Amino acid sequence: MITRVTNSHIASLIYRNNNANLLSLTRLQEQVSSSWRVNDYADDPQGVGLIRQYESLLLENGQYARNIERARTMVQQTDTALLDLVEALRDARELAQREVSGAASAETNRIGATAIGAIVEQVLGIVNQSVEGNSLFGGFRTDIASFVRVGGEIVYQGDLGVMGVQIGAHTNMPVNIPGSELIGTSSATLLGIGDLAPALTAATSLDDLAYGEGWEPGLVQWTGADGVQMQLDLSGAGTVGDVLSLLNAAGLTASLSADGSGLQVADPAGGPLSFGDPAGGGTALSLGLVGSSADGVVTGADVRAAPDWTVALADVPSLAGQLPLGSLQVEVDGTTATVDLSGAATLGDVRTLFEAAVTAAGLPPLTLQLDGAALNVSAASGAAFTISALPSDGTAAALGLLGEGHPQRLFGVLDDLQAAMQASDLDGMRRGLGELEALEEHLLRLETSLGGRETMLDWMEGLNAEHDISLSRNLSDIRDADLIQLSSDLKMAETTYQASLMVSSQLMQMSLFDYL
Amino acid sequence: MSLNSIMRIGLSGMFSAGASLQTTGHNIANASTAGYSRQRTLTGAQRGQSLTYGVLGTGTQVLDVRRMTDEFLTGRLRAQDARLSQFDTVDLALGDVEAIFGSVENNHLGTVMSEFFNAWSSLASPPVNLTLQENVADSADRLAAGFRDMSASLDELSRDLDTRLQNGVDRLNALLTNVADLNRLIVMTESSATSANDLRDQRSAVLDEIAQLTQAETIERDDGTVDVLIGGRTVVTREHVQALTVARDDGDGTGAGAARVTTVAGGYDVELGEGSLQGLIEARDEQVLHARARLDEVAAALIERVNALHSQGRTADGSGVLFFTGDSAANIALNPALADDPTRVAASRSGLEGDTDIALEIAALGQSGTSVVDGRSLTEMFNSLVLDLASRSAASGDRLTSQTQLVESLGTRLDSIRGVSLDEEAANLALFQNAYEANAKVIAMVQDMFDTILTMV
Repeated sequence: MITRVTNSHIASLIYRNNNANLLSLTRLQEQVSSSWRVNDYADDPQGVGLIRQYESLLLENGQYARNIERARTMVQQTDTALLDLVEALRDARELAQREVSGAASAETNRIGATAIGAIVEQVLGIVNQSVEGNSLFGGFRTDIASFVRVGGEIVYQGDLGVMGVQIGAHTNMPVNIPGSELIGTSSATLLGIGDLAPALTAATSLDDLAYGEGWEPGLVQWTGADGVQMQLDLSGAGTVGDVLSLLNAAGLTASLSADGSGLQVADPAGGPLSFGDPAGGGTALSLGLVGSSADGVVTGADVRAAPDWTVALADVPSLAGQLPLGSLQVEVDGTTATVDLSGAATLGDVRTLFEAAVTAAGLPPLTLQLDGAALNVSAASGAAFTISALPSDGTAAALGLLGEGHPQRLFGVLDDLQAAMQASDLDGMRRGLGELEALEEHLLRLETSLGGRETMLDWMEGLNAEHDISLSRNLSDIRDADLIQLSSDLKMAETTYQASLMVSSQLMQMSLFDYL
Repeated sequence: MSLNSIMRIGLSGMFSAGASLQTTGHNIANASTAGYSRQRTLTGAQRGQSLTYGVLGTGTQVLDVRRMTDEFLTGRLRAQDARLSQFDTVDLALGDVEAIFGSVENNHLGTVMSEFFNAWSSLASPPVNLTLQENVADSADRLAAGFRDMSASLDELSRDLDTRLQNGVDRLNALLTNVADLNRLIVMTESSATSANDLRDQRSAVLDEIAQLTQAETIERDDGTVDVLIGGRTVVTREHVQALTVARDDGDGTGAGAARVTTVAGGYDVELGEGSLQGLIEARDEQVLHARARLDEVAAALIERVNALHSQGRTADGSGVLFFTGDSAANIALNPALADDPTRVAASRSGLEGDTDIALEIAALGQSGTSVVDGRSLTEMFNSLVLDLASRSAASGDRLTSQTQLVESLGTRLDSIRGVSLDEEAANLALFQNAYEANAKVIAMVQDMFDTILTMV
């Protein structure tokens, strides 16, 4: 306890207090002039760490935005080229159609052959397009023309390279289609359109999600009806059931979506609910669970696993109401076989029964393959075939196996068609027509998958923009000053400082000497 | 009893009041002198005159002029002041390190690092544009220069701290010499049985200043001198001084060795206590070295991981070469072969123009969430280094603030004992003036009595 108050004590007290008030005033002025709450490391060390992290993420995000723009150029030009190609093939098909009709003559056939020759040149020009000096269809061989004439034939000299682009954190997307895919195969192939992916179950491994792309372990984040942001670490999960259990334990109601294609979360307290990833994360995205909902229920995207031959038909949602399967009909060169699939319980059974029935009917062998979620049928012999439905039997449609299988040879088909026209070979022209149709379908399928990539780019661009806003907001929350609060604090500090100066001045003036 | 005796009593009172007035005047004159301890004139009654009917008083006498202070509190204040000086020195150095690593507003190296990885990401993005190889080379050059600049600035800071340490030790030697000189003067003054109050105050002020440099133990001898011990080693004995100097464990010749203080004679190590000198050593050999080690860690990881990927690459001119040369922040540089010819920047293992697998993998090294070292990407490693520095800076600021408050509190307590209160001195002035006048009245009255007697004669 202090018993004597000395002049030096009063002086140091005045100095300390005035200095503290001035320091406080200076700090507030610094915050006002910079508009930042954090100006020195010591102001908020955790905040400085977060500021640096958000700044890095913003720069990273900006790069993804630029990458998306570049990828869009590539994808859009490829898309345009594919549509141009389809258009050219349609022209060729119309020409061939005209020449196989009754009105054609040998003379018109020869003129048609010349026109087909022009279409070949047109197609060659399309498939050798480049963007910013990069061959569009050369795979990794972007520095050379993708297709060249060698002798009398046009051959592909690119490779199978698929170029990826970073469009998000740990998200690479293929942006090109190698020319080898344009040419197709020399075996006759019917590309099925069925969706035979099984519904998700609690036992589905997370590594198999999204047709085998797997998932990204990490944190998910949501804001529920109470407005409180929550985070949950799902790294320990191995199956879909584990994810659902963890989410349920965290207070959400998590389940498989009604159609079994994805996950669904709901806030028991009602809406709104916003579910997604924390900054820089990709876990929720990989689980398909990103979105907001006013009614508190967020239904995720389709993240089913790709089917394999062991998948039970009863587990495939698209076959609901079609089981047991019935029969379908296969025709090769006028010979028809009926394939009875009623005994099939799994996709593997479908393959076995199909291939056995075709062989038993004496037809050239046909094989079934799984391609993503669809079944394809191919004839290694190159013989064209047709798969059709029996009356009142939806089996072929349910399996996505309706149509004709033809060899897909881009320039070979056109060359053969030209030769057939030159020779007025009606059978050759008809064969060419079938193959052209198959090629068109093949190219349109490629174009559709490219459309999916464009959609993905649009989606990622939107996500990126949202992420950018979210990061900027977080950065602002931590770094920026509340100017209204600051103005009030500054005024208060000014008043305090002036008051302390006034009191100091009066305190220093008082002395006993004045009264002696 | 005699009139003369009464007159002597009045005289002694006047003398005593005069001495007290002089002390009061001295106190007022030194009211703002740093380290001054107020003084008080101690007076006491003179021995009485024994007579048959009792003892008659003979007046007053000045017994001593005493410094009003508390040596125990002074010792505590010195110790805490020494610690405050150390904290303050370290805090200032951390401020310098903070400035080198970029203010909150200016994150130079962090930005350049992000630009480097973004340049790789651009190179990897189809449609492939190999002119972006130049962009990669440029950004790498800027990144390497950023590391080297930061490393050089840390070197400069180390050298500055070295210089300040040497200056501090020189100042300490001068202060120790002052103490020895004052010891000699105090012995001379007090040998005549008078207290050398002001010399003792001066020595106390010098010891205060020494305490800010380093904590020192003082032992006062019977002859009034003090011995000064630093780290248990005697550096002042009466009027003899053991001078000190700075030595450095500098075996590798890099100047990065730990600094230590030794005696000039004999080169014996002196273990410094808390104080600004120890603060300089801590700042240089702990804080700056720590920052450098963390920076080197980021640079080394960058060099190692980028080189490991880039050397797998191929270009039209051949196999991929090392991307960076060097092994630390001090010597990292873009491989001159790439600086001269950026077309040798390899984006893929196949060397095919459209293949960018290596560019993608290098870009990912800086991407958040990529595990390069301890689950962190290279960008996150650097950000974590900044967070570490910020935490150290904040912790240093906190301990400085609380230590300042402690020292202020002790200073206030000591000041209440030894400080001069002008109001108190004013009251004393009136008191001693009255005493002086009253004693003068006694003498005047005795004079009247003499006059009465003389009139009778």
